[in-house]
Amino acid sequence: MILAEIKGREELNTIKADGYIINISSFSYPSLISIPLDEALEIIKESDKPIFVKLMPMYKTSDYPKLTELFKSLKGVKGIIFQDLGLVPLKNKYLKDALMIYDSNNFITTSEDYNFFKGTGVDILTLSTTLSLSELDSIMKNINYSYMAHVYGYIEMFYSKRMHFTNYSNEYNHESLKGEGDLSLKEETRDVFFKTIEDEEGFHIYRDKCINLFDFKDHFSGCEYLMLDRIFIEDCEYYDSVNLFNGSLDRGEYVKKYSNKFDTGFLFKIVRKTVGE
Amino acid sequence: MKIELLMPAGNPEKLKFALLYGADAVYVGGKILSLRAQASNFTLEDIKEGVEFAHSLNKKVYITVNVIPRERELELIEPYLKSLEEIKVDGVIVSSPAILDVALKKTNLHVSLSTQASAMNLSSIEYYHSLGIERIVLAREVSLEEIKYIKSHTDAEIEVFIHGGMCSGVSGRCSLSNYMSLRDANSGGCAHSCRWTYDIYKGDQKLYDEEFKIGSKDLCSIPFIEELVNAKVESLKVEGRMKSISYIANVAYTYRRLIDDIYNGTKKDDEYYYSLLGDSVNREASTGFMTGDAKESETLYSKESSLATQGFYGIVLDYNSKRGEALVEVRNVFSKEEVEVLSPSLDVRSFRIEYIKDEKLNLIKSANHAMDKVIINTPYPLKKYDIIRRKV
Repeated sequence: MILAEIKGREELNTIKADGYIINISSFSYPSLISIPLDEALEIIKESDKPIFVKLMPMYKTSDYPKLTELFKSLKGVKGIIFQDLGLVPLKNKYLKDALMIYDSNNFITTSEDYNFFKGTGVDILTLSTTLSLSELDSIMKNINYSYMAHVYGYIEMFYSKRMHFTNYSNEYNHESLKGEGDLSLKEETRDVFFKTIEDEEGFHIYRDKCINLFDFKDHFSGCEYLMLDRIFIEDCEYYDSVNLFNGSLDRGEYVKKYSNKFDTGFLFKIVRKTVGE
Repeated sequence: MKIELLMPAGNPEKLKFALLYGADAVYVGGKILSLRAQASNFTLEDIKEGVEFAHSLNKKVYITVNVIPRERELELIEPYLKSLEEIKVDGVIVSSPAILDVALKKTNLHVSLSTQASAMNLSSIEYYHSLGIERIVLAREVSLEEIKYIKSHTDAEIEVFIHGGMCSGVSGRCSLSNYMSLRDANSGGCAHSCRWTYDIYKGDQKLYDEEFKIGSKDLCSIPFIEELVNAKVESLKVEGRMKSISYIANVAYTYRRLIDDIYNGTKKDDEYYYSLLGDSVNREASTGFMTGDAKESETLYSKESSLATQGFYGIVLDYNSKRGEALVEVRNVFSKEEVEVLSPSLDVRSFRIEYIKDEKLNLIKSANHAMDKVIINTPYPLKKYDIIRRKV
């Protein structure tokens, strides 16, 4: 099942995915593509396709009263994509029928991780974005449960509760950079630009290049859900990418337009544990 | 139950120093499945000896099994945890779901949830605790007020980081190192890319001249220990398995004094404990999230000021009471000068080195070579494991 992120109700018709992901203002990050709660609730009510709500922050204890109210209001949602395991008790109490999809970015790296979560209210795990193709293949060979995978988009590689742009602006008396969606960081010795944003939930650094794993779709045979991330991607490019994955856009045509914009992430990279290994 | 002071130990020697200088417990990494891959780490035999040594002092050893393993490492988990159980370690510190599952279902080990899992709120702590995890090492983003609230609303044991280096991002979620250095942070290969220097760009345009930094200053929680004791958290943890013996001993010594003084009702001004810590902070220290959000004062904007450990001169191996001389293993160059002695349970003392002899009893001007053994005069008896350092 292809899951695409939408930025508003109107995209239920323009994006041809099997299910939709919505980010809700004041609860989700990245805030760049979030929508107000009222609209989110209408989408959940009206859509004839499954709607998933993405709640990626690591929340503080003081956030939980408003999260409780949110969970009470999300009746009809197909699932919650989340990172903070504190949300699981809320689901068990208020959204028993919703699927809980744990997406920790890089914690799920083996076929046996699900054993820990089984029976606790977590239904689906999202594979780490740092897996190589051979690691992915060996996991797929052994898994017994449903998984999700990020197969397209800019992957977050750093999330901090420290407001680094705000702190920097305060330190040097510069204008605030909070919320600006077109900033990048360049490390002094590397000629690459990492997309970066600070929002209400924290500070986020993303990869310099978008991943596109369409050519390796068959390797994700054990994944029930394939997710296409949207942040930093222009609308028409995102629509084309969804169409590539759903089979309505020819691969050759797509590659002609976008080939210099994406890579395969870690699929063919060898990551060492330490120097010399 | 008195609060636990939990110190890091990167090798068997550091384990001894940590425990002798005041730690109630140490955490160590084995040769496999542990972060801090560049720390020396312990063989199973080392762990066994460390556990026996700690237990002889009525102290504890926890083992960090805190990597996020890859599929090829799965077969290592159960035999390793069973070996640790046989050795009678006092617990394991884990973050990976796959390892947690084996530890909880196939062993009787005491299990702590590593800070790598970033338990940041009461609900997540209750979730983990309900699955059998006895102790939660809180995320470093939790403030003192939140810690107090959490501890008063859970039966889980709570462990709090009080001193040392901190991730700038949410622990365990960061893959900067993976992307930028091809070194897997969650397997122990973190390249500390968050401490590098960056510039901010808008399109092709560099926005500001000032370098952009996101590295965190080190944490130092001296002002908050009394409230943590009163909050009845179970354990206070110091970061730093890669740190030197001198650092480990000094930090353990300082927090031991502080904790004991709190329990004895003899706590002095914070400045006293800061003075004991001396230079045992490798980067500018701060209070992290203890007082709330981490503002600009918590970020390391200046050039990294790693303090060298040249102040650490040597370790006493033996004392000759007849001659009033100590046999010292040299760690950094020293000569005839004023020095301090750090000894477990005693106030810091100072004296002047009047002469230095080599092992053949020849008088020498200075001790120049690390790990050489030299003899120095001392005005009072010293003991094995006393530390000789530069007088501050």
